[in-house]
Amino acid sequence: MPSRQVAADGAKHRERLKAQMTKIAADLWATARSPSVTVVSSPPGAGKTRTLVAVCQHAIKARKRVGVACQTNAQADDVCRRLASEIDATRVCRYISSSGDETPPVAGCNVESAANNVPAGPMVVVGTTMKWALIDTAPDIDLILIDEAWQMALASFIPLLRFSDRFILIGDPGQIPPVVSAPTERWETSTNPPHRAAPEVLRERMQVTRVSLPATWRLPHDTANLIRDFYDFEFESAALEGERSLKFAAANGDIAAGVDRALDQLTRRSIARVLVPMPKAGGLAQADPDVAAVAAATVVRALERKATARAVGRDFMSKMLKPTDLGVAASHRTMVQAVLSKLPNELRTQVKVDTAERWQGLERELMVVVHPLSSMENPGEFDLETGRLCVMASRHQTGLVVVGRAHIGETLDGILPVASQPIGQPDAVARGLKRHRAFWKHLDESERDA
Amino acid sequence: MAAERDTALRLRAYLAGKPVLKLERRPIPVVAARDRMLAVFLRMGGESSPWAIAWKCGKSKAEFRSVPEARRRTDVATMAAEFGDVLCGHFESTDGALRQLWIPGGTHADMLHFIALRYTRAKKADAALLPRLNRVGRRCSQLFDATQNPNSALCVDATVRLKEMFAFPCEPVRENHLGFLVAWLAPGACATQAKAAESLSVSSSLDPEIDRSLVADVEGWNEASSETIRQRHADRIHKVLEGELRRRLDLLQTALAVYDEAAAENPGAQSIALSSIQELARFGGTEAFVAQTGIVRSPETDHSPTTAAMSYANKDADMIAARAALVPFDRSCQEELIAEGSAVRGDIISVESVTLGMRKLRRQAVIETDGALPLRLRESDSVVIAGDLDSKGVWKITAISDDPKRGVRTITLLSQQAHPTGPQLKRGLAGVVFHEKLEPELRRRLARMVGGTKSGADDGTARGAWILKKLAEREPPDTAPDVEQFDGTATEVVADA
Repeated sequence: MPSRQVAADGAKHRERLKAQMTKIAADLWATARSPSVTVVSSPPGAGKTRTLVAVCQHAIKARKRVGVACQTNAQADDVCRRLASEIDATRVCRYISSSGDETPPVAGCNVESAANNVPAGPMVVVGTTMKWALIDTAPDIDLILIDEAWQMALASFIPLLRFSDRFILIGDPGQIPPVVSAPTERWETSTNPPHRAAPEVLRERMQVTRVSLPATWRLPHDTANLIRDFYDFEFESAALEGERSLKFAAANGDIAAGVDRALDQLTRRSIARVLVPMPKAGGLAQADPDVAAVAAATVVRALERKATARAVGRDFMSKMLKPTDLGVAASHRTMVQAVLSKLPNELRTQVKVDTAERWQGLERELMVVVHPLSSMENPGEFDLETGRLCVMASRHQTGLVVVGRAHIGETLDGILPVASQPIGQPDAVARGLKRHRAFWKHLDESERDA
Repeated sequence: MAAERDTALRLRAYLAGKPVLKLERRPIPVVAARDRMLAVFLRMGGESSPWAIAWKCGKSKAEFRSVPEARRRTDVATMAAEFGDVLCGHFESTDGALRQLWIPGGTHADMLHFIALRYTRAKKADAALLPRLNRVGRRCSQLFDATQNPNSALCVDATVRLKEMFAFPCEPVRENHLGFLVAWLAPGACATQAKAAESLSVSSSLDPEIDRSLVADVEGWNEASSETIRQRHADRIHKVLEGELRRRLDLLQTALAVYDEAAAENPGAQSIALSSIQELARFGGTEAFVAQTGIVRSPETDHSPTTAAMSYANKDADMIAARAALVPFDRSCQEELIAEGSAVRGDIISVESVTLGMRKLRRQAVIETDGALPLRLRESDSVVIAGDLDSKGVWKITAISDDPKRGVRTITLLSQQAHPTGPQLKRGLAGVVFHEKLEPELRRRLARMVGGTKSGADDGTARGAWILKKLAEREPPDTAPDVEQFDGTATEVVADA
């Protein structure tokens, strides 16, 4: 465990960050007193919702009415619960569709589907972006806050302009871009591409107030360093070096040595890697049974070896991990199914195994991720998009094990990126390749140091 | 999984030694001969503009036009205007029937796009030619968009439609050759015949050897000392190009006939036909607006934030609408959704009435499905039964649980009405397909709301109008075509300013 001095430094460090967060929320509220657009960029687990709730607190104190637009109903319910824990629940209104679930997400919270039924007075009205976008008349509001704004396309943002002249968009620019189902070729060269994330377009097209949250509270110190390459702003970790680690019981039993070695490495740093040799014959399948088996074995082994998270500055000092503290992420649904099939029956319902898309907004103490290029010997544009890798590499609070086929480093070295993007648009493939290479190099270096 | 299904179908085609049907029903209507027009294009090597065009309307004989020199923009413009008059006339029928343009493949669709880009916003040309060119530009822009819209049957790309209808015993990349596809679909076809057909070019590009064989005549035509010699060169060029056009046109006709006979029309195709007719009517409205204001939508992109957002939301709605129209009537479409994880097929384990709250009566069904299949659907998602034609019997997923031991997934569904429409569920009913609720209307509504924002910005009721104004600022300079003297004798139409 860290010395008393180190622990004191850590506490001071977190106090400083908390003070910064408080000031950011106050500044955001001050900016929103006049017509404005503020874009708040956040690293993973940096307190996006905490910031949103703090701004709402300022608004309620000032007897104002605020709208909150979330990207899913589940997120909206969660925001209501968080708000109700900080402000009077009767000042929160869950704004639902006419066929929506009328059960309040939290006791005391109002639930309304019609604008004129929303109670008068200071109020935070929480609905999905689609709810706000599709209504003809909205409740009277002074400001709209948008949560997980990088998942909202510009086309969905524009209708919100009917209801307010000031907006605060909060989100994580490293996340997976909004889901696009229609062909978008026509707008690839548009100055206002309707399918792209609204904060990105707003930042490019007009003067917006830019704010970034200072630190990730979720990720350990060295992971923050690892994923900083995915962002265009600086941030740190709320945890100082050595403040978070995993401890395992001694290894015994017959299991792939690579898995135990990786777990042992997590006692000294937060990221480890297991490389699965290339198959002796045949190509790689999207659902790779060997890699799935190693990912599942890592989960099983971590539990067998009584994985225990140790932390400073969190709500526990030492915690033996339960299956629900572990998770597995993969790029494709077929791989998710393959991993599930390799897990023992009793763990399948307890260990969350899902795609990167579904992991957004969630976290676990220990994550096992299947590297997105593991089954790709000739990665394409989709595969080199780094949103998935960024999401997968930033869900853990204490430890991360990356599992992949042994070719990945060589494959990344061998790619000659082709600039296939439309004129005037950023070269997402080259950028993705650069980030992938940096990530892999970092894993190489950590392994060498170990 | 959808890719796996595609691979499985391809393997089935390999085993059968011939193409196999991918869909049970033909997803778009094939109109009567009198209502369709066929068009094929050729271009000179290294050039983008058309060198020769052939078209055929209804049962009338095919027309072949070419210019001796594809780099003479005035000549090309005159040919494009003549083609445009026929094309626009074809779609401007007032009888309310669906009209179609059939083209052989993607490069011919690109030619429509090229015509749209070059002529839609051309500003200077011969006074008699200019409005005709602008008009064909706008029409080609609409038709090019239609090739990318599954909810439109105005412009049919034969290659795309045959690929969609059949799985072929070949690598995917070879499916982009219409001749190859048609050869495989001929009675008693074999790989050798398909390979032979594949050796002949069917795109808008000529076989390089043919291209090269025409170089001398093109040069001769440019340098000819007399009109007689010029005409001789022009005739030779036209003869070769006509032969190439004719072969492509014949192939397109065969492809059309094969497609028409491939399977019965999906009843949902009528919805696509209706939407295409509405699209034609909307085009009429747009033409009136252009005549009144002179404002023309760019064939390249939309820079205005509201226009772009509206058009994007409508495109999204079209994608969903096409699915919503076809899925109820075609089990293959349902299989596709199941493979994607957007639908489940299951056996009904129980159905009962439940009371929610004070007096709310609902039906609750529990189904068991294959636990190994992927599932995109999640708790609280809305689904409908595949046979529920009006999709009004909506069920909400309330619980999903996997039983790995038995390899099954149990899904609990709650009806959103006391008496849900659609097939009546009862215990023991097997193989019922529930798929995601396809709601194009929501996306259309989004488009309308974007339109409402635009109007609100104009009349001052949209509070965030200042943001819209900022987004609309800094428009790129007008890219309207300019004038260039090409040969000193004619006013040229140039689009690459």
